[in-house]
Amino acid sequence: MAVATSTALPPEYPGIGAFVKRWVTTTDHKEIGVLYIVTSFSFFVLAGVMALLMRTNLAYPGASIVDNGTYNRLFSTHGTAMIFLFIIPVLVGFSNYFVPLLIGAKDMAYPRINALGYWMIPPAGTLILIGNAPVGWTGYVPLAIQEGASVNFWLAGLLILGTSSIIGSVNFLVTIFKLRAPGVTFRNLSLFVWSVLTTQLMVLMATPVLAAALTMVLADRLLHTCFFSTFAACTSSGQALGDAVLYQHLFWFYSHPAVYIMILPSMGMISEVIPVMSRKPIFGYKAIAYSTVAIGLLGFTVWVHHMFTTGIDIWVRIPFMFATVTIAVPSGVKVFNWLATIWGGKILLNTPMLFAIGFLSMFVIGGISGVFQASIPVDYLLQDTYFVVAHLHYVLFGGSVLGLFAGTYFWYPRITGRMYSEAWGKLHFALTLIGLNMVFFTMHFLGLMGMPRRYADYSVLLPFQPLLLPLNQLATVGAFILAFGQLPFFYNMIKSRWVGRVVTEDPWADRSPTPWRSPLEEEPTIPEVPTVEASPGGGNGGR
Amino acid sequence: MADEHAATHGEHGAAGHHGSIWPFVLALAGGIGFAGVITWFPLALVGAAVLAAGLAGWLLEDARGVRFGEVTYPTEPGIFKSVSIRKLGMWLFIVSEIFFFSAIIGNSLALRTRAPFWPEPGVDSPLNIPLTALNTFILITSSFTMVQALKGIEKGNLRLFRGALLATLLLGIMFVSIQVYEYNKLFFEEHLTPWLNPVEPRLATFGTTFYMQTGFHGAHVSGGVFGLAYLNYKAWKKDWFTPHNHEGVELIGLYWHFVDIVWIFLFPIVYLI
Repeated sequence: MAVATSTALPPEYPGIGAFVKRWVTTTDHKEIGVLYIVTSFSFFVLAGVMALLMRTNLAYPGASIVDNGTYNRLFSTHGTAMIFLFIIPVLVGFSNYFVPLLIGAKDMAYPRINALGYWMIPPAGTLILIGNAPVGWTGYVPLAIQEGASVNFWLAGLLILGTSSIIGSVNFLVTIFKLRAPGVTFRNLSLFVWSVLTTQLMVLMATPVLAAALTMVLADRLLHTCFFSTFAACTSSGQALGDAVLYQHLFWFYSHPAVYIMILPSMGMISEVIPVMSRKPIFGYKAIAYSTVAIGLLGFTVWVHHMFTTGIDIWVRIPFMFATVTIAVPSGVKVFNWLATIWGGKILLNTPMLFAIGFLSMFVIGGISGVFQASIPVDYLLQDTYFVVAHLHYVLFGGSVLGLFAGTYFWYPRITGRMYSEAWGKLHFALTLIGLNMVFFTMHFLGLMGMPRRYADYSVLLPFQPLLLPLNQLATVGAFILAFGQLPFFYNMIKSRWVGRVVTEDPWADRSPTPWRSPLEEEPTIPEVPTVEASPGGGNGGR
Repeated sequence: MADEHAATHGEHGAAGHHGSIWPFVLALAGGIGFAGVITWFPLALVGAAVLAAGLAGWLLEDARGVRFGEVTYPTEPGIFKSVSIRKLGMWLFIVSEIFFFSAIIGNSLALRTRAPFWPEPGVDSPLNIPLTALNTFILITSSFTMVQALKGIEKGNLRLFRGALLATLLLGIMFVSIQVYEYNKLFFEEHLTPWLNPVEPRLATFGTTFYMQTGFHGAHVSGGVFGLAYLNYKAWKKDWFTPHNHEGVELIGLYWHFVDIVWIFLFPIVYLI
């Protein structure tokens, strides 16, 4: 079956012109997927460097390595870039590459629109970076109306990214609904595709609301309309006409679902990796699929938990508290099903599996600290402290990004036709896990001690809480370990692309119920029809 | 009825991937145009020009019969088996639009609840309700003629098809023109501005929400007019649309009806209550 003579992918190109032409005009879902992945990882590096600058500044309070204004710009662009230019698009890239393969389609439903969705990322990223707006990744008003022209760039960039997301979501949904090969049904659909389906449904419904909100902020800034503005230009007989909290409602109506938009595809990747590396069919296929959808639906009912301290009526807040706590249930269902899949399996502790286990443990920490904060009185104490920063980094780095790394290593042979280096991969895993726990676990303590987030300088707090200094320095050391821990990853990915062992068949074929063959002549992977009753069984082995 | 457009146009098979430069051009145009809007306006015009070129290139590719992602292989029927690929795409796009308009309308209603002053229709409202009622009637009629156009092509009645399609286009243009006239009157004579103005300061919130809601609706109607113009052009080409091959008419029709329905919500919310 396998073609023994195949060489590395992609083939050599005749020249730089042809190379550029190929990548600029491509409408192939795999090539667009690669473009997304490569572009997003470069934003990851950029935003990571910004984080290092911030951490350096925090290690020396009072010394002002970067001035306060620059610090504001750094954390704002760090957040915006990590979320909108790294995690979301990189997962779209993997979805682009693998959804058609996993459902047996030849391409996405609208290949040209797919390319359009990708090409909106570079201009949008450029605008965001040029702007480098100091308004946080949330762009809260009235600050976002008050600040200078840089906010316009931020808004323009995000509006372009939103458009890209919306057309992309239509494309994914139509592809998954209409282009499945005969036999690929919602009873045996790959769990990764299930997660992409849910994610893109959320993108379809949530992103337009963000687009509307940002458009209104832009109008408030450029035309001096009075949606959210509370300034003199919008004050009539002593009363402000705009409503700043209204912006938060619209923003979080998008941005809370966006949290799940960022983690569900990673969960999908984990659901692909764990069964293969445990050499067992996924435990509770249906439970994982349905809990994905449940998270997607519940994700729309919790946004006010970001706004507990804005003075909203308590009878509005309480239902949102309950809904927030409820989300822990489907998340827990997933975690236990993954654990049950590993349990008693013939475990192969290679890089993808290590990252998958890393995901499981880190996600549990991040998830539980989320449940703490769901409680309104606890949220009063923790709002805008480093505890929130710790929580969101545990779910976004410990969750989304570790899951993403698991998927990246797992699918690397299939994308490049070459094998990555296990040794470098394991080094990457070790440094990442140590670094991320050092920097982010420490932040829990900082938060509980009352250190506010987004402060460039906390030296005024030191007389009251001297422990802040060593803990911040510990976090900074962790941040550097984490950052330098990514070097083996990039080295591995780039070097193995040229000198890695050539693979023409699934390296884990003996463990996978649906192994792939040569990446050169990709054939659709039709999942096996699951035997629903036999548990642990029922899944398609994740592939 | 819902046949794909593929068979009659272009001889391209499914084999191999087509490349296209137009996605790149369109995205670039978006970036340049947006950068222009927020910095130096002439740049926005450059963006608009590149956008027009990109759209033209994109549509010409279609007209040349280049097919992207043509599905010539068997697929699992699934829950949307009676809905074609392109129509499902249009439906989903409309879902996203529903959320967009819901956000705008919901936001406006929320602002209204806290506004210190809101004009009463027929008492101190600057809006011209009879004129807008006429405009509403025009838009609803255009939905009717759109249905007739679809009926025409389904039955092979080209006269009805072309006539009704032209009527839809003209009614659409009429709607936009009346709205422009209305805006002109409101802005310059009634001092209804999207911002706080010294002449009619009480109308600030009302003006803000009025222009946002009707403006985005008007922009969508204008987009629909553009699509209708394209359809009208194609309708006169021999055999482009046939009784078995006219999905484009249905798709733009769906969008047109959607825009109409949005107006049916907006008219009472903005003008009557």
